[in-house]
Amino acid sequence: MIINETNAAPGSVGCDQVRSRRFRKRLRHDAIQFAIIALVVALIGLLGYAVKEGLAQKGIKFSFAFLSNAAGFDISEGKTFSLSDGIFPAFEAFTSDRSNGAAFIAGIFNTLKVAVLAIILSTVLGTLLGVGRLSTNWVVRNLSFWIVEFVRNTPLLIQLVFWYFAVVLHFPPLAAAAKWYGGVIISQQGLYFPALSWSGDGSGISIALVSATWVAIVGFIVDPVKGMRRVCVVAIVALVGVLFASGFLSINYPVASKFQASGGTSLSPEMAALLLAIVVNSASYIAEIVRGAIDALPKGQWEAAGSLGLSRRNTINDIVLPQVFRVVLPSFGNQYIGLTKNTALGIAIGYPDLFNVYGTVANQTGHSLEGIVIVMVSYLLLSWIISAIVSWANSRLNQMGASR
Amino acid sequence: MTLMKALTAGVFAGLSFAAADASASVLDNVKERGVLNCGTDNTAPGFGYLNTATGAMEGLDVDFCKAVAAAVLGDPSKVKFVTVTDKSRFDAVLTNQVDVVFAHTTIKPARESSIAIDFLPINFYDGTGIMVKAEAGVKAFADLDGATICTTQGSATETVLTGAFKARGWKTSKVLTYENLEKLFAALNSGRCNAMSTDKSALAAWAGNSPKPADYLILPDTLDKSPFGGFVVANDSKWRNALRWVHYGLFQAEESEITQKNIDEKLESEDPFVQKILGVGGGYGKDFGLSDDFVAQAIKAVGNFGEIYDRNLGPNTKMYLDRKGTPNALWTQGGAIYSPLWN
Amino acid sequence: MISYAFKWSSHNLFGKPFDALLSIIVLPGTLWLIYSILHWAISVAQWDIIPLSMRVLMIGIFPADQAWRAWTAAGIIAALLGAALGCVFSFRIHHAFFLALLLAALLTVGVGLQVSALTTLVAAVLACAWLLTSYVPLARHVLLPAAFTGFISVFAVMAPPGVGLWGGLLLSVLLTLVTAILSLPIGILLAFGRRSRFSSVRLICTGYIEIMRSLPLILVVYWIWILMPVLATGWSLADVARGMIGFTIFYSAYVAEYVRSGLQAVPRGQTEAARSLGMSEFDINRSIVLPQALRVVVPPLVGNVLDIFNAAPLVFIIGLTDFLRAGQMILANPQYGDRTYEVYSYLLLTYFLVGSMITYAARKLEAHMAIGSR
Repeated sequence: MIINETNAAPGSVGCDQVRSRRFRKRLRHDAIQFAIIALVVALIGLLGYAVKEGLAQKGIKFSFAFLSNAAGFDISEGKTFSLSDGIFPAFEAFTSDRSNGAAFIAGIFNTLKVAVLAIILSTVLGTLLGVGRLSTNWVVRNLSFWIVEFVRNTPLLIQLVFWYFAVVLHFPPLAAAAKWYGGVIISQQGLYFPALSWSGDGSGISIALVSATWVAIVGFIVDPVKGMRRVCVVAIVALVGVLFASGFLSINYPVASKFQASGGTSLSPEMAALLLAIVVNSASYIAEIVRGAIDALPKGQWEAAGSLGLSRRNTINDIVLPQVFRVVLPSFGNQYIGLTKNTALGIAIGYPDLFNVYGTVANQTGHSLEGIVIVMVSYLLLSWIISAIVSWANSRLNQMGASR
Repeated sequence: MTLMKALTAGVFAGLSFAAADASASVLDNVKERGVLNCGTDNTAPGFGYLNTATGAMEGLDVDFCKAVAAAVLGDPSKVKFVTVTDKSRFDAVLTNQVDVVFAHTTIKPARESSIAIDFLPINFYDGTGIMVKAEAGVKAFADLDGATICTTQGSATETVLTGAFKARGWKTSKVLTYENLEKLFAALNSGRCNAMSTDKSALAAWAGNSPKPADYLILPDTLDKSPFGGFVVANDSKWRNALRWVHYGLFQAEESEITQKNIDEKLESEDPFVQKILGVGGGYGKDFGLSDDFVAQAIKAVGNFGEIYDRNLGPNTKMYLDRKGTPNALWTQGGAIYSPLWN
Repeated sequence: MISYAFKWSSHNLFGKPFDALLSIIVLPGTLWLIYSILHWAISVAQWDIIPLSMRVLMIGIFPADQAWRAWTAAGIIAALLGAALGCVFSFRIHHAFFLALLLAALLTVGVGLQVSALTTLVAAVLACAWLLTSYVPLARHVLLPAAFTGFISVFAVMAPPGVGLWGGLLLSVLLTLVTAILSLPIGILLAFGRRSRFSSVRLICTGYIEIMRSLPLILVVYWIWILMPVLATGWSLADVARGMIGFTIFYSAYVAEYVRSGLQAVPRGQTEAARSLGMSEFDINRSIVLPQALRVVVPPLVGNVLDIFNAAPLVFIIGLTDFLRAGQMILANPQYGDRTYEVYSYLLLTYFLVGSMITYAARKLEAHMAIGSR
């Protein structure tokens, strides 16, 4: 009908007619818009209803009350919040008498732990590999190329299983490994490192010393006045020396007992393998991004740097990489999100990440659907936080570039 | 609400292409289809296990599938094995993907009360055990304070272990869970796990099948009991009763010494009791919706319970589990394998 | 010769002090690694396990007497692959080398099945199809319908013994094919939806794409698998089919993003010109925008196929026996528990071989496109 009318009056386009035609067009647009929304709402409603019916048929109730029930199972590692002293949430290891909700938090903690470490390490390794692919050294160039090719063309899952069963679990047993010097224990029971431990008594002197050290460290990083950095280095060395001498700070070496080692800081074999697999895998993708960005730089830049007498290393460090990092950050962001998602593969080697913990909770309580909602929201939030941080960093970097 | 219900039903009826008639028993569906869909594990030596050399399924659970196929359809080869995992086995029955599951499943009240399934008679009596490497010098569960003990995710053992630690006040012991037995065993071998914990039969099977069985030690402790049974969808007594009496038939056949070898002789037997079991001159089969000779068919296919046991777990197998003195022996020998009266 | 080697190494390895330092650190380690791998592969490894369990690796528990179905499917896929190759790179002599490599690979694959004749036949089918599309232009025009019928017949051949029996490398390949094919139309629709005039459509499509891109694949697959029986009680769908649905739902979002980047690459002036000619929106999209956009995104879409193939082992979470899982099943046999390295090396090498071929094709296509657009 409408089409006929408009076709009937071509050429004579009065002001009124244009307005009414626009109005009709808009009306039609809105009507379709409304119909689509109504359809989607109806579909979601239908889906929700079907789920509810399906659940009811199996006698399952949709409720989040199970989160506060005691878990009754153990998680091999992971920390969670607890309100043991009433007001301030403490960060403690998960135990079986904690709630199911606390188990989820421990899972998120484990996922984050691997993701954050992997983001840092894979960026470093990826940049090295990417630069290595353009090295003048034949061995380094080809080694980087084949590592990147091999890793990118094989499934991450098989790499992960390989790292775990074929590498990490072939480390020496605890008893043999404990004899290593330097306090480092690398065994199939875990990787143990010496850690700094605080034994200060909370007295004024100790707190003042520590605060002074932190001020010096901040000063070193921020470098407010030229030449300040050197002063800060001297201060840090002196202050740390005093802290050790006074016994406020000490090094805590891991000590192996029959089945485990205690003291120091440790990395479980599962986490070590997952970290290795994800770092090497993501680094290969990051290497390709870095190489692509370096290749995309105008050749003139290299030539100009060369004619200024800069060495190749200086050219890369001072001219190429700063420009590259300005370009690649958004692509890095995508890699970081992908890497965080990949931590879910930890289930294949028994690492208690969020997905693994969800599996256990769902199995023990039967509340799989509620778990899905929790896990889904957690991953969405993680992805969004990462992309927000990366885009913030990107805009900062570009601003800095513009002001120079 | 009713409109909503009708709509939902309509949508899914339109989508479904294999919707089973709700009123029909699974038994009728199986007969109509001509094939039994049987859910089994494929990583449990002795129970349900894929022989990678021949590509054939073997094990106690697998033989029960064959026995059911023979009893219902008269042919043990008319069975399709569907692999189920510890996690997926209940779901598989509920969604009619399989007609029955035999997958070394522990019978627990929670499983019948909260999941719509009915268990069949116990076909194996097991218990939760612990296995260590012999060189570790561990002699009993009590020596394992502070150790990392590994098990499978989704198994009953997970909570049994946590409970055992708690009862003994062990603070630093850890439970590490893997997704299946094969990874668990690899982790024990590598030394990552100080001990592995699962059903004792599985422990024996993995140790026995390994190149050096003497490297492993199964501790004398039994943390909990673990009776296995197959299961079917709930509220289908026609199907469930038929399967229950297939089980009892296999138990009774062992007691009455009817074997795969002498079955043809026994079919000629004048003993009215034997005739009753084998359905000679009319038995109970017709009432269950089966043929009268259903027990005879099952015995011809896989033998009596004792023969099934010996084939998969007996002295000639690598995972040899002695029946003597355990509940897995016939009741006449002090065990718990017992069939109700066939008369 | 020695002077050449000396010259080469002084130039490539010890050209600068820093390079020399790197060489001194990296070279011995690399050589040691290569030596120990070769030493292990030749004199320590017991490779007999691979041919012994080849059937399980290739087809899982697919019944042995139905193996002809798998061979037929392999033949059809090889023919389509060859035909597709012929459209992009006309057959040249040096390709024969590539083909020989493929044949060698196929023969190693087939060695345990004792059917070298059949493997050779499959390779021959590939070569014939390649030659056909290289030299007979007419063949290229029927490629699309041929591919369509080919894929349909692959499934028609494979389905009868039961979808639930698919396993091994066969399952990985079929899963990749189904996902790649199904996610393309859905992805195109989503990409257009994201540029729709209607804000509601835009919102829905963007939301779908962004949510899928934020979730791990393994979760999506697992959830689709557990949710379908809850949603439709009494409707049974094989695990394999549910896995394929999960993969398709996930990868459609990625395909949509690739296609969207292609759509953005089509100059605006073209749509405007078409609009001024009075073409309808649908016609503009179908016959002007989409063909150009798809041309641009062919290389990333081929890369996407590799991503799918590499992600296929994740179906372990729903109990399917794919290629990797089949390998682990062999290790599950306690007698073969000590063959970890042999089995994993074989799996890694096969994956690497297939992956490299796909990557190579994607790179060649990219170069091909770059020449075309000049």
